[in-house]
Amino acid sequence: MTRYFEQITEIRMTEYRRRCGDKLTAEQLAFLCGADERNIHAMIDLDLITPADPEGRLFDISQLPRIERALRLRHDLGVGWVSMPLVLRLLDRIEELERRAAEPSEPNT
Amino acid sequence: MAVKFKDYYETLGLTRDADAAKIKRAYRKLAREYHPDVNRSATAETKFKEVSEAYEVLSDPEKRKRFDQLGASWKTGQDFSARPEPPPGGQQWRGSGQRPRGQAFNDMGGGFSDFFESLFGQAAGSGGPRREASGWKIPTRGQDHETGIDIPLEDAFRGTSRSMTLKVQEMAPDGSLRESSKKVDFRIPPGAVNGTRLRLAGQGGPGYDGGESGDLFLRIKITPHPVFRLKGHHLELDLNISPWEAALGATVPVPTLEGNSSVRLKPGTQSGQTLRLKEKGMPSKHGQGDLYATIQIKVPEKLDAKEHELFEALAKASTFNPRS
Repeated sequence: MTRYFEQITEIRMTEYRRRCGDKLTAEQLAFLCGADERNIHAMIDLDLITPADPEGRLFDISQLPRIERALRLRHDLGVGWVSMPLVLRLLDRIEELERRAAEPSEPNT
Repeated sequence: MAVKFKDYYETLGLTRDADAAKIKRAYRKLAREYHPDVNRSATAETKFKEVSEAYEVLSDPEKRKRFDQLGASWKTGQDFSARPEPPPGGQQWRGSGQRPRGQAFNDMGGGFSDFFESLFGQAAGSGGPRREASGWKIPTRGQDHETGIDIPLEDAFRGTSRSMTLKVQEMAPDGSLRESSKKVDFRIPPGAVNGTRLRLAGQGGPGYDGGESGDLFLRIKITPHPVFRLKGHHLELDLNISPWEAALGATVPVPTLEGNSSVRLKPGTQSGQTLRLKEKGMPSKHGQGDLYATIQIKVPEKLDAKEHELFEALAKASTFNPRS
């Protein structure tokens, strides 16, 4: 199911793309998700966000869902930045495995 | 409006005398279990909304007091009616029609329950890290901004005064972004190194609804210096000496940021050897850093007749083999 949070993020992304395009700075990212810019820099330092240009100044709006997810985990569950990459990776992994488990199993040949 | 009463203590599994730490612990425990980022099921999302709503009320002393005033006799599911009142302290009531554009995502059906709204006004919660549309004007601190500045090493050593013009993004009343510029004067104290962050209080983004402004953080970068390299608060440089200074020992001049100093070389000084000049580095909290001079023995590229003769004589007379 699509979750409420994700719907909101989706709407915000679509709206931003329509008005301003795909690329934005760390400052604009921070503004868009209502976070302190230091949080964005923390995520850049942890490689949770990767820049879209060689100078590392611009980011792609498609990273917004991941950013907001990290912000929620931090705000709601108190996950610290140091453990954030691990938590995200484990969640991704669990979701992938759950998706696979839900698919009809392939016949053994 | 008749709505169903909710016992927020029951939602979090708490008794009415629970303290702030207990409330937080209960919330965290339930959030870990039901947070939609962690638990994919549809019931989890509903449950998490209830838990967040309960926490929103019980974690805020003001809201908790109002909830407690209802008394302990109410049971979950009972019909309940109350008129929302603005909180005391002269804060303004704001109608739902005046919410800034772009923040109205709460209308999507993810807000708090009717019970919550009848008690505290529409969408007074802060369901996420972002600033949600709110029923009351809550003073909100402006954003902190961060920007970089390049300064030469000499200025970092002595300290320097600078001013810079900043582009400021502000939110216009209609919710769109507007740019203006602003001049800021500041002093960089002696001893700044790469990565030093300077805080200029109140020079960040403007606050909303009477909140104070955010801070401006300056990330300092030192431009590369032709002579010195900066390693933390220590400085490094290459010290070129002649073969005879290395072999015989000598006192040679060494440039420092405070002016010339000198260092005594022992006879038999080798290329690559490092000499420490105590407290000739950058000033810092933990005392002044040191200056490290790495010896480089330089040989004349062209020899004149006399020098040639002397080196020849040395080559004949010496038994030194650097490869033995």
